Amino acid sequence: MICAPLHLAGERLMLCPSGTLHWPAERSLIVSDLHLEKGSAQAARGYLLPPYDTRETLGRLAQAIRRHAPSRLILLGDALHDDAALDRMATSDLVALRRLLSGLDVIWIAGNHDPSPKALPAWPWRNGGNAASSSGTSAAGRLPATRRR
Amino acid sequence: MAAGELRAVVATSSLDLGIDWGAVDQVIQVGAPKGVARLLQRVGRANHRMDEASQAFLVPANRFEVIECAAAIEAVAAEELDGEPPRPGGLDVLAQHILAMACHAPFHPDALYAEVSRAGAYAALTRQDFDDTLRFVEDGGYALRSYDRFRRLFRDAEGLMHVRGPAVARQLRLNLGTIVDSPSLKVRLRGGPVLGEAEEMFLTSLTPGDAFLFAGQVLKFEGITGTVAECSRGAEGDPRIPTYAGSRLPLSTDLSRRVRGILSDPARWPHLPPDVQEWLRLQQYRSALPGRDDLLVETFPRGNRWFLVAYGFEGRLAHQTLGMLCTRRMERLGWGPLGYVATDYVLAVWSAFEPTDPAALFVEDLLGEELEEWIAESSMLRRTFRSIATIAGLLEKNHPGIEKNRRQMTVNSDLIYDVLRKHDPEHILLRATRAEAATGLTDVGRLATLLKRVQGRVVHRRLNRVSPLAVPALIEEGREWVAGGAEDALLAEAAALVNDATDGADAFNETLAELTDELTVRGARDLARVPHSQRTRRRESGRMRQGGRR
Repeated sequence: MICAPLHLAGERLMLCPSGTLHWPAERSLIVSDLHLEKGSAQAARGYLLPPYDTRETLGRLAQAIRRHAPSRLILLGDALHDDAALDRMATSDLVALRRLLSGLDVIWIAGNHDPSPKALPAWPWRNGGNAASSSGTSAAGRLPATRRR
Repeated sequence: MAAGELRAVVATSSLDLGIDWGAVDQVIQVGAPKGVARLLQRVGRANHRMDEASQAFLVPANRFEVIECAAAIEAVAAEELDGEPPRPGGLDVLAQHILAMACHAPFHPDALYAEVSRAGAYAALTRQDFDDTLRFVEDGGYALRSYDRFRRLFRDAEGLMHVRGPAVARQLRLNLGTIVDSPSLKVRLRGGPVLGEAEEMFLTSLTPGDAFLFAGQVLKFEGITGTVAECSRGAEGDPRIPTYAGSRLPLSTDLSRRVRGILSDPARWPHLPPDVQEWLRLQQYRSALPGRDDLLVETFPRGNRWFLVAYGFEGRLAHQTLGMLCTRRMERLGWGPLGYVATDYVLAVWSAFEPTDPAALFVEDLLGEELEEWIAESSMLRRTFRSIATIAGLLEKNHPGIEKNRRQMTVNSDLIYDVLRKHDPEHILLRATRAEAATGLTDVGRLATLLKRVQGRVVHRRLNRVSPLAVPALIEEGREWVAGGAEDALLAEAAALVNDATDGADAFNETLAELTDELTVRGARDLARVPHSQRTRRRESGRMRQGGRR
């Protein structure tokens, strides 16, 4: 499968089979609803789903990043499944997540599943170094201004 | 029903067992019974009293079924009951049992293993499998041990296993039981009430705009949102009828032996209806009759293809598996297989090139590599996995009246299956799934018996046209690949087939036309899953009959 173009407000966006949205002009990759640690959230409720979902999701995200080599990653919300997701995440996955985000300008819009902003200091890219961060409505302000014609 | 106010009830096998319901005067069995014990059980529904005989009408739906009914009646008269041998117990059921035992009282693994392996179904259970299942119940049993915090069981100083808390016990009780529903969706009138539920398999086969019959009205399918199928009134075109797949049991081993016995021995034909006798005599003349212990294989060209029909009589499931394996083997042999169809009686395969040496297909090593390959990628395994994961307590059942909130969204069992296969291929649930698939849906055991029986006894008949016995199978063939408005072509083909096979023998033409007629009606009913299949059934049945008389 190949990416399909989508024209929105004069911009050309690419819908990719990996489930991501690529914005070539802005060198941005846009993803949504990763729901990291959904498996362990089920486990906490007594349904011991396989603990490989985070690893799998991050692996796919890494592939998409390698393919499009974006300079910016935009997370549209619900990147984490719930407030405690980062606490439950396996160390190896945490490391992988940090490494993935470290070279990128990250715009993380908080969805209803994501931890509340007060938990922000624990968010991965804070420790990852050079990435920018934002949350909630303020994130919208950080989106690069769309070129209007 | 219980009050005796209904004059008649049309039922599936659901009324066979477990319902004591006295006032039935007459049982009418439509189609072949597929098993002797099953037939007796069904007939016994009429006059359900100790001291009175029960009676039933058998209504076979085609010529093969006439023979099958005759065989079943013989077996009943000879007081020979059939039945499948009990299967070894599943690890999914064991997992549920272990958790249930822990909820009942703390147990010691050694003692529980000793107790469980006293049950016949688990007599062959190894300690390794037991321990793996126990570990699955404890913490999921994954190679990646990351669920220490979420253990459902803990071990005390004396080695007794305790359940972690009341939440685990409650969850077990909600999911107790080993019957897994096929997934269903709500059917809702747009902007109106929910009308009921239908199987997901049926609903996902509809395209928006399709008409279907539901809750006594013709609805127009609009689309599926979440777990609801939206529809509206004002549909056009012939409606499709929802199907509930259920399970169709294959022809039993004993009955199959009797059917082969009748077919191969003309001395036993006189009590068959004259037209069936005629049919068999013509088969004897044109090709050969399937023998008691051999495997008749016919090959003949038709259209631009070669057909291979093998008369295995081992039931639909075994034939389906055989078809899958044979086509893989034919691929290797360079015969260019194009497709196959399996019935309870035959397997028919069609290919681009002539299958010159069919005996090369029906060899025992067919069950090696090809089987492994196929099982690994088949979608049937996903269905099996879904029910195993539910029974083992990995997935939640849908509880009536409990709406899942967004955080507890339904978990896609296919996704879990893929993730497990990739990251944890030896996980206990995958092992259980493979074992289940090998015994249940694929009927590998029966297939192995067949291949063993026919070694060196493959009777190959190379014909220049279709044989009388093969006609029903080829009509089924049409049924598999035909879709959309192609039924015209199919029926013209069926008529031509009838002509081909009978070569102008008028009386026989007539009877075969009837036969194909019946088959098509059944086919059309099954075809309810294929879009637009119902549309022209009646009209064309009539046309086909004309074709048959030509």
